[in-house]
Amino acid sequence: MGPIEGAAPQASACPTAPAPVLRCEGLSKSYGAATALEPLDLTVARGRVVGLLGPNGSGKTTLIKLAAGLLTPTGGRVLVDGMEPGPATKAIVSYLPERPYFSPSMKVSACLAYFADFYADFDRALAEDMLARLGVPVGSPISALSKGTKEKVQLTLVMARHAALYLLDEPIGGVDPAARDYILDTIISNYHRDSTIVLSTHLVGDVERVLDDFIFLSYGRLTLHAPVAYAHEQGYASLDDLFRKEFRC
Amino acid sequence: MKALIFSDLITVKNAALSLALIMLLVGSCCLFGTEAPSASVAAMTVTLAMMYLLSTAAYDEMNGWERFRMTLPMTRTQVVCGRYLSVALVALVGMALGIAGTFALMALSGWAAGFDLPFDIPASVLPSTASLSTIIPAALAAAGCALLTAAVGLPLLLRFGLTTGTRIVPVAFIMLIAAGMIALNCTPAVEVLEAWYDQLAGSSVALLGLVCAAVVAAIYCASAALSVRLYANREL
Repeated sequence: MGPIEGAAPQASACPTAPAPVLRCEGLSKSYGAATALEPLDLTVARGRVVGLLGPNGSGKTTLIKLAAGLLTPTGGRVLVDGMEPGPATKAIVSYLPERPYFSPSMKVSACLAYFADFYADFDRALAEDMLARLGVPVGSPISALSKGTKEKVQLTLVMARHAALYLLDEPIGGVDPAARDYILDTIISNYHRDSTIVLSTHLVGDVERVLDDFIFLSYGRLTLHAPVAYAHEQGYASLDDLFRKEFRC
Repeated sequence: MKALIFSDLITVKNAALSLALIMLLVGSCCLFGTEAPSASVAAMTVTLAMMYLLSTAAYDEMNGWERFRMTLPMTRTQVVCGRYLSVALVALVGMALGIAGTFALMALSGWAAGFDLPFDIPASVLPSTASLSTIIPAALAAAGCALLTAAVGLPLLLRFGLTTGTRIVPVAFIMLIAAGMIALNCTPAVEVLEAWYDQLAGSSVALLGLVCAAVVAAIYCASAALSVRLYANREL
């Protein structure tokens, strides 16, 4: 059975299947008269790497921010591990913003201390190991790092948490291809297999090798939610080909 | 909560030296300009509290720090209360630093007075005339004024951010002052306040101070409650 357009594919009917880590029920978001997300229903299972794909302005960041608790829905609701966004969900959700949020004058060690203070699931030893492999001295101020390195540091902090849900907003945007490969490898090698990753991007060709499932968003509407294999089943050479066909201008 | 307060204070750690120098500069100008140590300590107290308030608001907008705070596993009420507590803490620190700074400036004046200078140093700024009985109340009053100012500004800054807040906050102050003046002119409030003040000051200045502190605390807490409601609707 293939995916249902505009809806999630049929989830397993097994009665012992774990509850989804992310569920959206009629979720919508408007900014005044402008609709960023039309009512959508979505279920994301545990242990999946899901690509949230769409062109610029399709609602990817809005959906991620709703799940992270940065925005409040205009309609419907979003549930993370069965709970509405709040302190309990924020403790199990690791969010990577589109742009790093540390002050240029802060040192990397201070950033580590912040995460260790606020997140009980933060693995400082893992973070330091990842930073050492990056060649980033923990005593460096953020301002001394290149743009790509800053983004890698931010990603390190996010992935060093043992979260149930990782929300990564454009993790590979604005960095060179070699850095993109590094970031994707870091994501896959450091996340726990019972956790879920939702990463948004419009660079489909770069990410499809790491994805299990994908979601297409177009002008705030969910148009497709399926396993990556669906693209091949439909006769496309790659998910990137399917994306280009779906969103051709 | 402690981590939130600490994180607010840490954000201005790098600016601590410049804040201290600005405080001393402001204190010096007030001390020698007014020849009144109480003015110096009051100015330094208010300067630190207000600069901290604006620095943290600016830091929130820089680099999306405010967004980071919204992803922390704590309620928006805790975020708001953490900010109010840190501002109150800094006001107290400002008092202590203002008093210390004023005495330091007066000591410097006394040392300078031993030299043959082309101008006279006013006697009122020399350490021999220093009086805690005027300096400490001045510091307390200044801290109270700083907290009242924060009580007006914080709800607007938390709701709208610094960029929009810098346009709205001055307007809010002007409207409040105008409303206050109209209320005083149109009601017997002036006579009532005068009678109340005379009664309290006549019986005990300390009691007057305590009543004023309680009023400031009540207004500050009411402002925090308002901020919680406004911040609940903040979207990033």
